[in-house]
Amino acid sequence: MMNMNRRHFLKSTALAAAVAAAQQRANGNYENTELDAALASDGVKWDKAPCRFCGTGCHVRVGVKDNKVVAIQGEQLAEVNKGLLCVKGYHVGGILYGKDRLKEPMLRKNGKLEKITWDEAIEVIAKRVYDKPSEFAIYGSGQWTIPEGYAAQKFIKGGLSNNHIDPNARLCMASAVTGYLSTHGVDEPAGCYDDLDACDVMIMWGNNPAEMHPVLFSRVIDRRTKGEEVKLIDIGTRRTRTTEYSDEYLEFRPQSDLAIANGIAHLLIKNGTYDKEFVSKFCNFRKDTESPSLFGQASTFEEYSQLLEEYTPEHVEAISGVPADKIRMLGDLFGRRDIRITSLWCMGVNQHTRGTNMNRLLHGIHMLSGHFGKPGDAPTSLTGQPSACGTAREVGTLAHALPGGRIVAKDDHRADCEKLWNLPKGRINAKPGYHTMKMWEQFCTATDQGGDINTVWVQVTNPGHTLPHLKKHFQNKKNLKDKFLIVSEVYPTATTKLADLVLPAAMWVEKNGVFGNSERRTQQWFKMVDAPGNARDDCWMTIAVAHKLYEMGLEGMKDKNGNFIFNIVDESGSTVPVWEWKHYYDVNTDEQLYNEYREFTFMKHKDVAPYDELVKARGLRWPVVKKEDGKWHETPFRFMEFSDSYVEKGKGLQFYHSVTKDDKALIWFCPYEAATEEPDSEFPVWLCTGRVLEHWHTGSMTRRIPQLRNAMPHAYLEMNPEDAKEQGLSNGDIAIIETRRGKIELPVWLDGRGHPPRGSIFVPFFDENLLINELTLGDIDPISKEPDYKKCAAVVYKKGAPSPLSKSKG
Amino acid sequence: MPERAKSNKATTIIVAIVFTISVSGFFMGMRQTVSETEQSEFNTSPHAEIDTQHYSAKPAVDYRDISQAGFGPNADFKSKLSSLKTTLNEQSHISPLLLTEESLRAKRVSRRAYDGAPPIVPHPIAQDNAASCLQCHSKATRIDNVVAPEISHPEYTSCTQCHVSGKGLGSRWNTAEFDLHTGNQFSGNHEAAPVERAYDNSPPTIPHTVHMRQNCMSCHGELGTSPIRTSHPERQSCTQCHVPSGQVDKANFEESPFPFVQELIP
Repeated sequence: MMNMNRRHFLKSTALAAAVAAAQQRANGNYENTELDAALASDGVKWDKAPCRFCGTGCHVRVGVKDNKVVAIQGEQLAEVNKGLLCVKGYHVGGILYGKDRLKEPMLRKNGKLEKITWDEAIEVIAKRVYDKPSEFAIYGSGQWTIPEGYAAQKFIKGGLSNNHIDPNARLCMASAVTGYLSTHGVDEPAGCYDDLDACDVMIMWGNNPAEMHPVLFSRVIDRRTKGEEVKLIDIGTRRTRTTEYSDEYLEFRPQSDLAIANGIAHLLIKNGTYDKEFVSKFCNFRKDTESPSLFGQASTFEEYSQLLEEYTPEHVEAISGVPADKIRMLGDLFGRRDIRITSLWCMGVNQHTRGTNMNRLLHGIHMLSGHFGKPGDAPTSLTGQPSACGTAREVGTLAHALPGGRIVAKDDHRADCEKLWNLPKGRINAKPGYHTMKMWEQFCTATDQGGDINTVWVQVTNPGHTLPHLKKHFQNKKNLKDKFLIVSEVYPTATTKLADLVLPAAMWVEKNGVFGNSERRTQQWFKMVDAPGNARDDCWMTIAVAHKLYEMGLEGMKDKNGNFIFNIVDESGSTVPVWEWKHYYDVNTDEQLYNEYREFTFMKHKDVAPYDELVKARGLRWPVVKKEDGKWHETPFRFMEFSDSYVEKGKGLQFYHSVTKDDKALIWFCPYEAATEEPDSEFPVWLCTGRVLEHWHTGSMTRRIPQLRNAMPHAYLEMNPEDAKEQGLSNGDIAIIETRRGKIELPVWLDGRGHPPRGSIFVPFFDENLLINELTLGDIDPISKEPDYKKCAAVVYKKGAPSPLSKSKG
Repeated sequence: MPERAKSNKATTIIVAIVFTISVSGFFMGMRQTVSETEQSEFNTSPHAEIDTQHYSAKPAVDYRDISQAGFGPNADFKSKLSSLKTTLNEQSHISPLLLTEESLRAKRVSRRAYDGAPPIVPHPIAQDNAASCLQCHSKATRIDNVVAPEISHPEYTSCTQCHVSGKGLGSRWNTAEFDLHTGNQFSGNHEAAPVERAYDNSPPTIPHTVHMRQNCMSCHGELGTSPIRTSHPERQSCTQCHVPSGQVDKANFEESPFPFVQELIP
């Protein structure tokens, strides 16, 4: 009898599993394949995690032995990377084991950082907040896990009511956000990485994915080895590794990408090759207001065409230096209906004083030509951080935002949040806090001169290295004795150098986490090894400080009923004191915070998957919706009926958060405008900064990995050999670069990784010994407030030679 | 019928010949191994690099001085291809094929963060494109004592995505002046999973994943980098007899039940 039952059970479950698997394949959905937790015979235990580095969101398989990470594999079950990684990803395990890992909290006493206890550290922070809650700010990160960002968000906006929280993502994708918002009415891409498998043409706008998003780049070029034809067009300001694989290289004068996009739109209209049906069904037109604004003012097709009139191929050539024939080639490609075009961009378009406009124009040419809404036809912005989308954009850890696409300025959005957080009415401040650039400016301005940010708590980022014009935005803090800088970090950095309190943090698989990648994919992992010494989770730090303030009686840390705002419970529903470290891992705090946050995501149809589903999957793309079959389904293509269940039946394509409330997207006209600082007789060359394959952002992690550091030991100056010759510089010589903001010395590398045209130079920013951001410009996009790191005017001369500046002055 | 018998006979003869040749070849090969290993002490220290010669090479002339450099043939210059020494089938004084297993293992370890990590390139590379990698690595190449192993995953062509140079930027200012030691305490797993055999002399299973290692010969072939070389290079279809180990696979997929087998069990 028992045997019969068992047989029956096995049979039915097996059948169910087979049917489910078949259904999942048929629907193109994820398979809930769980990694077998069994120890392999060599004693290595494998578990899944997203890679710690960029926004691609590759999954790695982490091999753990004796409480240490000992090996990494590309996760073959992950759709994003299908088993492939880049050199950073393959060495990601090494980031945990640099010899100078921070292990103890340290407080600066008489100019020196000295070891203190966690209790003391938490008390110091709580006291700073308690004394001046309105002048306390958190500077966060696109590397925050979703629960970490959510906790900080709730602490500042729901607890301190000052809205002074902003992430470093402001420096990297704020213009992409404003681009999507002002086009679709809601943030984040409609397409996904599947577009890369389907496109016939891939256009990279000021983008070098061969180095910055190598796994995605390989996904495209590997199609060629399989016999498929893909045309790659590199529109850039210098030759890079990407150029080597491209069919076309269009070199433009910095800032003139605006003119190129307008040139394409001009040709589409002039030649009558724009998609008339698509435009009439799905698009409205917009232009900017006198002073730039997010939603601008209504325009018409006629006015749009008229404004584009001047952007003839010849006019565009005159502005950009790209031959008119190449502009025509682009115009012809967009005019074709038989091919699919994907545009990719990243920092070249976003870190731009007209970044919002450039984003709008790229969406615009795709809409106008109907290259939208089908797999392979997509304008897609890539992100540089593992959770810029997940934590910065979706959790809304920006100074003006609230979770789930809400903003502080809207009464109903604030009311929503107060209700979900069980806060008294009016707790959330309607006034946006300071955005990154303003926050640091205020922090670095003396209190008696109006610098009304008194304390900044930096989590999971390195502003002392990445902010532009570092002296103004960071280093001036040094002389302001009453200002207080708190830094949670894993290694000593340019930021901890000026920190008054350093908190040692757990990182990556030393803690639980959830990230959100560039294609709306939410990814979860579990803690696998212990953090070294007394390093602890950032999320715990936030909750511990909040609870200290609650004990001190700060009203903001109480909800409507007087209870602590972070209520983490056990199975029976009773509160677990997770603010005490020894209890933090008694329950899965991450899961509870994530599920609390999940409630916010439904309003804008960004429904993230339940935590339990994420555990099983290698990330799921929102909106993740439960269908009639009782299963959770992800959405690869948003707004498209064949994929997105929020689109009304029969609509085909529906921008259901349309700005104009008629399910239509906006096509913008934005003119070409000159850069805010262009080369002149004194500073005659363009300075561009960026990344390299081996190092991730400020290199605080990758520079501690021997294999990566040996491959790329330090920063360099890349310049055109002809320019170098004029200055008497040869390979390896030390050059001095000077801008209006400072100067540094760098070794020259000619014909190395990249090849800049005459009159321009490139310097990577990863090297903390050679801080190029002391020279970069602090000018920002008026809408997104994102600074431009790609263009400013500089002068280069050989070390030892007289400065051309003193000559011109003399 | 007679015809089949004839052909059977012919097959037997061919097999016998092949067998004899392979057996004698095997023993000859073993003899060579012994004699040549002694001569290859040069490279047996664990951290010896094959391209030690790079260090003694004259510094390259600055590109601006090339026109005045007065290049000409040196003592070793051979003007005819035919007069070049071919080393593949000759006994050369240092043969990487015949290094001891320990030195090969040490070299493998020194070039990988852990077993399964993409190896570091032990020579300077062209920094701006990957096409030059394939000049030597598309097929296994051996030039004197330097071996360029064959690419094991030819469908991936962006080589520098995963393989970076351990020789820095390859220019003269990068090595001496900077402290490249990071003090990282990451200790990678270099222990291979144990090989399984169903019974003595059965073909062993593959103790590692085969992802990105489709071309077994790039490591296990004559010019490969693995200490484990095939004993039967004439056989081309490796996975005909060797399958990935269940130990490795187990981490990949859950065992799925057989849906219909239960009905047959009484």
